[in-house]
Amino acid sequence: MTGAERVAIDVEAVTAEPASDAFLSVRDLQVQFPTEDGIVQAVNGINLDLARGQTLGIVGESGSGKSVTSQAILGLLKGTSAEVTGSITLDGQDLVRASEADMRKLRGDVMSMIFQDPLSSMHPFYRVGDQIREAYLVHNHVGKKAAHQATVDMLQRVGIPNPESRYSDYPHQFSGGMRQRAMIAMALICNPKLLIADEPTTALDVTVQAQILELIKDLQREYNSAVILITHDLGVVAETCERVLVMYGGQCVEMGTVDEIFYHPEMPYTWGLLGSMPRMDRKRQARLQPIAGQPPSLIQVPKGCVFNPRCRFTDHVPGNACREVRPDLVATAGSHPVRCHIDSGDRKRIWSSEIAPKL
Amino acid sequence: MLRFLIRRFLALIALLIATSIVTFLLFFAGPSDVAANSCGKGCTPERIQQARVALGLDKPLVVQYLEYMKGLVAGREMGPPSGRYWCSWPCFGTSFQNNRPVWDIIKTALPFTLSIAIGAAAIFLIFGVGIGVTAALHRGKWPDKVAVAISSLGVSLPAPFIGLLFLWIVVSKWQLLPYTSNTVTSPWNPDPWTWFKNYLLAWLTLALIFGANYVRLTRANMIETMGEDYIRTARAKGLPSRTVTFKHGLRAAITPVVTVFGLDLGALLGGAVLTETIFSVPGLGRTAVNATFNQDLPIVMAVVLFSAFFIIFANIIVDILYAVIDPRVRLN
Amino acid sequence: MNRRRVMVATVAGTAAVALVAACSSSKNNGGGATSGAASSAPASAGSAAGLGKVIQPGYTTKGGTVNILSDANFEHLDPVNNYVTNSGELGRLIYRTLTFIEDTPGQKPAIKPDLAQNLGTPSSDKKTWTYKLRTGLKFEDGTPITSKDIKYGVERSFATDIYKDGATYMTDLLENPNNYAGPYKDPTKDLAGVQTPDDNTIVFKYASPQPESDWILAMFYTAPVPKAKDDKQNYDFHPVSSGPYKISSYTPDKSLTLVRNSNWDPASDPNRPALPDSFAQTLGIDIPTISQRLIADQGADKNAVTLENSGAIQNADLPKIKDPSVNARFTNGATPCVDYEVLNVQKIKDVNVRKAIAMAINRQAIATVYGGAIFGSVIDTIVSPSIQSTVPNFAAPTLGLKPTGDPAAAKSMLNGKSVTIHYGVANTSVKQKTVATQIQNDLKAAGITVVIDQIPQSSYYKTLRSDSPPDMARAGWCWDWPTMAATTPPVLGGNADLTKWNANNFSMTDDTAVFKKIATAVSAADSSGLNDITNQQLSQVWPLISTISSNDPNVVGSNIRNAGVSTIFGEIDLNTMGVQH
Repeated sequence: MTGAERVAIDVEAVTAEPASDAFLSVRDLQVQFPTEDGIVQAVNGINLDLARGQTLGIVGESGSGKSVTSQAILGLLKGTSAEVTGSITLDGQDLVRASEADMRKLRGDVMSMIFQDPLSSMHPFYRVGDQIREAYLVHNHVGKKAAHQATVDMLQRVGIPNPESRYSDYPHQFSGGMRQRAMIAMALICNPKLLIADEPTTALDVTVQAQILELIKDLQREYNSAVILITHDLGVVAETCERVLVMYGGQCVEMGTVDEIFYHPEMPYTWGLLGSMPRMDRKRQARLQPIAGQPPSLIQVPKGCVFNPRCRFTDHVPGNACREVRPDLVATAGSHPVRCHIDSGDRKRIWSSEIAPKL
Repeated sequence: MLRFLIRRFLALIALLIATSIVTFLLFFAGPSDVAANSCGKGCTPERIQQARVALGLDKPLVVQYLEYMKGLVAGREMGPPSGRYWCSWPCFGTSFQNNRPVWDIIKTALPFTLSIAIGAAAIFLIFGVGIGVTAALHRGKWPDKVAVAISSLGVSLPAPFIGLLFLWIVVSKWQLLPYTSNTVTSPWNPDPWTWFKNYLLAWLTLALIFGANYVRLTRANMIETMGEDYIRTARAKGLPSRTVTFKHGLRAAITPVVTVFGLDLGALLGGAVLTETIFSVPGLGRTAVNATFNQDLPIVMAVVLFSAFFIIFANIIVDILYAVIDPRVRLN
Repeated sequence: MNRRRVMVATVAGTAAVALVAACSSSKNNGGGATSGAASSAPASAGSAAGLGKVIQPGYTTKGGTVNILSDANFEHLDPVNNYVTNSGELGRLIYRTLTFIEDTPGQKPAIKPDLAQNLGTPSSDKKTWTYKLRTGLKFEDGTPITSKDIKYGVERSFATDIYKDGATYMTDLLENPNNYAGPYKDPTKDLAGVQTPDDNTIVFKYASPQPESDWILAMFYTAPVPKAKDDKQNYDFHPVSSGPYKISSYTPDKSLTLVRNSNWDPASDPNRPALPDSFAQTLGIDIPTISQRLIADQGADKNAVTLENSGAIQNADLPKIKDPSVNARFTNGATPCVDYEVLNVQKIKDVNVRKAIAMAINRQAIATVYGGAIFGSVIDTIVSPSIQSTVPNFAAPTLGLKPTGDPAAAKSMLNGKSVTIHYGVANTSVKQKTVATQIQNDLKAAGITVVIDQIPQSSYYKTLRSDSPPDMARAGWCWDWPTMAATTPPVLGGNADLTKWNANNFSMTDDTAVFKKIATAVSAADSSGLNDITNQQLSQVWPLISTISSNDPNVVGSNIRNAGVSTIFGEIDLNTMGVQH
């Protein structure tokens, strides 16, 4: 029996309906932006499920569509020229069809977001405490004093010393790490059930990174929130996530648990990612292997497999399939969903013999 | 903050003194003969010399300057030996034409200039910023296109053209508004409605010209600001869009507008010469122009000092406002 | 007289004069170009320009208010300093003088007694003149006017350190053996030139014979000033009335209101009809707007007139004036002023060069720059058309010039001589700079190079009088009283002791024989003789070339009656005006 004859489970076909126990369910999310040069296909068919208490990492290069995905979930694309199709279900509520007014009620309260650069993401003219309190007041009908107290408590909770006096400081008066903590405080003050963290540590020192990630994990445990962690840094993913979604060219190309992705990756792009990541825990074998080529233009999405122009292994696929036919996201038995034409057994062999030893 | 204010106030004084020295030298040490000026066509050399003594021009320049400054703060005695009189502070001298104290002339002209300046500034600020914000929020759609068209018009059309057009059509042809009257100086004199009707065309002329700038500036800044990360955060927090636009967006976008507004207001307070002339409003600008043609130096010098004061003062207010709006500017 | 306000009005309002061709009259015979016909001033040649016309004459009803629309504030209402045309019209309503120049439009000006009962009685040498005053004259507050009040007015004109802007005839002509310098410097000194033997008699003593004393004393320095109310520089704001109107309110730069002076006795003043009840002047209106409002004739403007130069009329308004309804409210009159180009004989020493320059320039084009026939006409003499009627057998000089100039003839006159002329022009006058450029072109065609030098406006006359004046420059003379003696001696005559040229003789002629001839003719009251000397100088010595005699066109509101242009001031005459109410 060849790998090709194993029962392949087409993830996209089987999971057409939102999973009933998932808190967040995304099905065939497509986001298009009309521009002067053409239509930009920023997100091209993403599916994911996330339960409360779980952390999903979305990994990819710049331009892979990961941020747009998170913006689509938060409904921040409503009212722009973007066209969002597919379904996003949060706790049973359809977010794509929801009105802006409904989304506003959810944003900051049920679901919230932490951004990459806390200095530019906070308003430079208002006190940090006031900005956090603002988030609290818009969703809770309490007096200003109560909101003030809640803010101070939250600042304390995220580990900012002297929260009472730091309440009155401005963003530029905080250090990078403290600022991100404050950002987290702002995102979590209403106890959101879904937290999306978009590159939360990219702008921080490495030493501070660990603290922030620790904090996020802590708070997740405390509030039992579902967390999506978007990053290009595999190290961060390894630290914090249980499941990983690898995005490329607006599509999901591989999805699995952290272990599966790190130790049994089956998509050439993922191999490339792993190969280009410097590692301290292995002996240095050879030079870092960057992935040759450029990320694809999302206006002229390559026909066939979106990675094919840069893939070193297209010769493992007979005929022109890589260039002509878009592979489906398929999970072979005993494996995780991968979007690739190469036969699964073949992929495992390539991984263990060619790629892994070099990392 | 207090130290900041004190420092700026001292800078104001220093700048005013420097301006007064330069102005004084320009007029009283310059090429034109001040004594001959004051004397007119029938000036024989004897009369010129008499005028020179009467104006104190026979004294050393430094003494003349110090006496002028003394007059400003404490008053001084002026006039020819047999006709001395006291010029009380602030003494800007007396007009060469008719010996009227220049301070009286300025006091009379000031309410007109203030009426024009304040009314026009309110209109072009509110409408300029308002239209700019609207254009930014509806970028590419018809409000934006209309706003850009109007502002291009305002920037390209010169004041005399717009003003005269208004005057001809609205006052002369359609008789919708009366010719301006020099008795209307403020909303309390004689009444707000008359004041409004009297100055409306002058305001609209200036609003069109100045406002154009504000539309473009606000629009550009708003577009840029609304693309900032903290706007994205505000929306992600679930804030209502009005709060996002105005509390988060406009406040950040407004700082360059504040700077320009301060300068514009300072300049307007010095007298919008063309508008005042076209609409026959006897404000500071017109006073200065007439004084220039008549070589009436004390008046010209006083208006220059006033204009400098207004502009410097406006600058300081702008600096303070900047610090109020943007906390990053405040020095600890 | 001072027509200084010409600068202000024309620069502010008509910067584009040069660009607008005169559209009023296409015929070159507008307004007395050949001054031979000008002795009948209101006749055919001038009527195209409306000269001498009176609008709706014969009105005698008292009452109503005349609204005066004005631009900038006038300079002085204090009679000692009142020497400018627009404040002159107002001054004549407020205070009386010893004598009065009657200037009915279209008629020869005449001298009449005003405060005086009769014209003066001269001594045989014409140096001492005695005047008896009328009785019962009062100031506005009821206090009687005496000869001492008139003397006090004259004394003030000697305080030249304080009062700088008035006419200088008293200080120039009266005898002053003790160097009297005004009533403030040394109160113990007395002005010997004026004596007041009793309250009703006043005697003037001149340093040299003055046959025209009656004319000289018509000016405002003989307006009576009550000593108790004299607050020096502030008297400007509230001069005390001795005339038919007094000031009821005056806010400088804003408004002036004149109302009837109840203490003025009409029976004592045959010179002033005083028809309107009041005059309300509004200041600060932009000049083109004034013209628009007068033409539009709406609302309160039906009672309006203006005292601005050239009636505030802009070139662009001229087509509207042809409209019959506007033309019925339009009048015009010669001002006392004649413009001329100085040909400084000390700088351009060759008389043939001076003559060539005069031949070459196109004076008709200058008239066009000034706005065309309505605003002024080419003239060959410096004697204004308004006083030509006072000269028996008046004749203009035979200059043999073409009004449009003849550069070719000038060139042949020069006979190959290469000439460079420095032309001085005031730096603030757009109009004069345009004229200067045109003269430069005219002379270039005649082979004369002209270098235009700009002179700061403030020191223009000072420069013309200095030791290094320009070779050629524009000047003008406005007579102070309408006789030859007020024109020829200043412009062409000598100084007080006849050794050098008069301060207003910008041509700097230095023929002392001519100065003596002029002085003799003045003493003999020989206006014909003066005109002969004028003609001889102009046509043989060529110290200047007259260019334009200026007019003062005016449009008045439809309720205004008896409107004509005053010959003395060259403004619409407020004295004879009435208003329909």
